[in-house]
Amino acid sequence: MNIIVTAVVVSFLLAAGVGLILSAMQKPVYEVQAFPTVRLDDPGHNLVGPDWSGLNRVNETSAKVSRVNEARN
Amino acid sequence: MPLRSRALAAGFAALIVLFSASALAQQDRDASPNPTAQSVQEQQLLQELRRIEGRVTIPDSRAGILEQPQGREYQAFHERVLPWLGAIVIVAMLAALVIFYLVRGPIRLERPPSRIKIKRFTLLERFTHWLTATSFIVLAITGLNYVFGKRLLMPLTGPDAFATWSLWAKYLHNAFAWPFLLGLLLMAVLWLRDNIPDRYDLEWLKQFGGFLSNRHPPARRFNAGQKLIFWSVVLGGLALTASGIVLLFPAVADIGGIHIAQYVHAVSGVIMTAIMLAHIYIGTIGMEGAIDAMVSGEVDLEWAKEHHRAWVEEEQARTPDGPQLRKGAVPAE
Repeated sequence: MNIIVTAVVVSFLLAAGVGLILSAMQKPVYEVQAFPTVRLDDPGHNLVGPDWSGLNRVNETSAKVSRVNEARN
Repeated sequence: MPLRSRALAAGFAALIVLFSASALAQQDRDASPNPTAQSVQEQQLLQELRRIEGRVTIPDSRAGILEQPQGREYQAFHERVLPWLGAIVIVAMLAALVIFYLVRGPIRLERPPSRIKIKRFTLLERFTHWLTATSFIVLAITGLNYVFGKRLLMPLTGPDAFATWSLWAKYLHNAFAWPFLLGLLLMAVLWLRDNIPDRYDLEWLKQFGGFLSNRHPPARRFNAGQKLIFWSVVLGGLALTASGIVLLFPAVADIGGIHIAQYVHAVSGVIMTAIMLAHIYIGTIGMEGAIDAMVSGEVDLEWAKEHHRAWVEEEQARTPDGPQLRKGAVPAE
């Protein structure tokens, strides 16, 4: 039984260590891709849409409404 | 016609002419050429070029890609094919295991235990097994969250709690990939030689390991079923690792490569999860005495003879004085 506990602890320690290294290595894209002539904003938090489908249907709907209003005018 | 009537008639005529002119002018305006209507449409561009892209000034040139069919194909896979495929594979495996348990029950020893122990796995082997197992369980739970979380969990927890959990699940998934890789490599080195196919495997497979007939076909250290598990873990684990590294460091591939990595990672993960369910079943409630091998490292000699007869004979032939046995113990035969 001790070997199971040891393996579980070691796996968590290894994961924590790698997690720290990865978080130190990796930066958000809006930081990496920005340079003196290009500024990128934080894109926000929910990039997958309200239903997590990858489609931002709220924006799609508002864009459709805008197009209809433009056509009417 | 009186003068008044003439004046009214002339007024009506003037109004009609005025309305007609206005209508004609409107018609002319509607018929005037629309410059944007004649321009190339988005769909035409996509069909011709297979990709709509522009130029960007940031270092990542892939950000200039506006639209490409592969993105839609991947979304269709991720949103429709994968959840169904995953559900069918995993539920089918669970159903098969439940039916097997109800029909066959646990595989018990046919003869009473001998009370003599034989060493089956070393400390390093057991450590490697549990290191890989712990990592895989975390990876499987957090990985399945990608596929099923928003469908099964989010309705229960609400979007905010689900978003927080998913963020941590992503961190855990990325971090536990590395102890899993370490365990995978150790496992491959430690057990590769014992998992090379041999002359016993075909007969073992023909008899389905004796699981249904109570006849135990001979096997060396690992039987054909265990070898299938081993190769599934090694090959599936390598596919998961290679595709996972591409996903973790997406700069190493273009968008097509990232999509291929997603397909490979998702399908391998779902299949491996189903295979591991079978492995966990047979290693715990499915077979009496099997769990001892990975907990204490020792199994009862009678268990070893029933399930790995050729291996026991090899071990006893290699050590005729019985150093495999505990001090003071006598071989059963």
